[in-house]
Amino acid sequence: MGTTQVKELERTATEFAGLLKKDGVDAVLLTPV
Amino acid sequence: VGALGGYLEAAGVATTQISLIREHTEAISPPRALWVSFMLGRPFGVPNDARFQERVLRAALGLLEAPQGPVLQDPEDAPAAMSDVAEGQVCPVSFAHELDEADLRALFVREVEALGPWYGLARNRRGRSAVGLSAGSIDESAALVAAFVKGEHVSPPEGLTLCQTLKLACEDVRAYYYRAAAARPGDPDAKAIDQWFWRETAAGGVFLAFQKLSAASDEQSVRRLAATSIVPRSVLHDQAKA
Repeated sequence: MGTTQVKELERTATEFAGLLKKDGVDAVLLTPV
Repeated sequence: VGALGGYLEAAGVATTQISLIREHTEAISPPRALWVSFMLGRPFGVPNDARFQERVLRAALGLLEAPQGPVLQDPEDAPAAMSDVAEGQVCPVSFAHELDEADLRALFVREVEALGPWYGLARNRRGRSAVGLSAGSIDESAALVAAFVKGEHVSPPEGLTLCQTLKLACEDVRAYYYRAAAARPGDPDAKAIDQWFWRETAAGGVFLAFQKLSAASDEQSVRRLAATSIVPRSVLHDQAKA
């Protein structure tokens, strides 16, 4: 809802990036909803 | 989204993204972003127009070819602004204009009721509801928005801030109107529905009043909401010209 603290995203994003690389994904498109 | 892009990129995954709020994207400066002037909730623009959406998608993916960021690109072929001439009436329920604020709020409440059958039709066709983010009924969301515009105290439910409460109520009201309008005979396109909502409904007038009030709020988060989430930039631009 636009109120997530930016720093709170770092850990989840880093873990997510690890999973993406494990699956052979090298680029992503991000869109707001 | 911008911050997420930065973290993913730092972890070795290239990112590109759609930006709906240019000010946020400029502040966060993600690696690559395509700024589009579409309304919130429509990152690919015009609904049900696959060709248009593909152009947006290709433009966003094309940014991955940039050797390095940050890149913030404006699309060359964004849809026309709201200043285009409306074609015909969009919804079989029509409402008066140029009312004072008290009349506007009363009309808004009646308008929500009058659109009920059209919204019901849309919900039955799709098999799901577009309303419910706020966890209240559409009547409750409309009443909350009307109360805020009237200057009454709004108490957020437990677990939500005032800003979140107002935002979710507005989103529910807008979704309700757009779904109801789309259910009318003649299959109106997205632009026609936009024009109807902002130019012909009491809700559009209430949202404009809401935007003005929330921009002057004591709460910073509510002021930010006013700046980014209530009235599309193109509508504010048209209002300023009028």
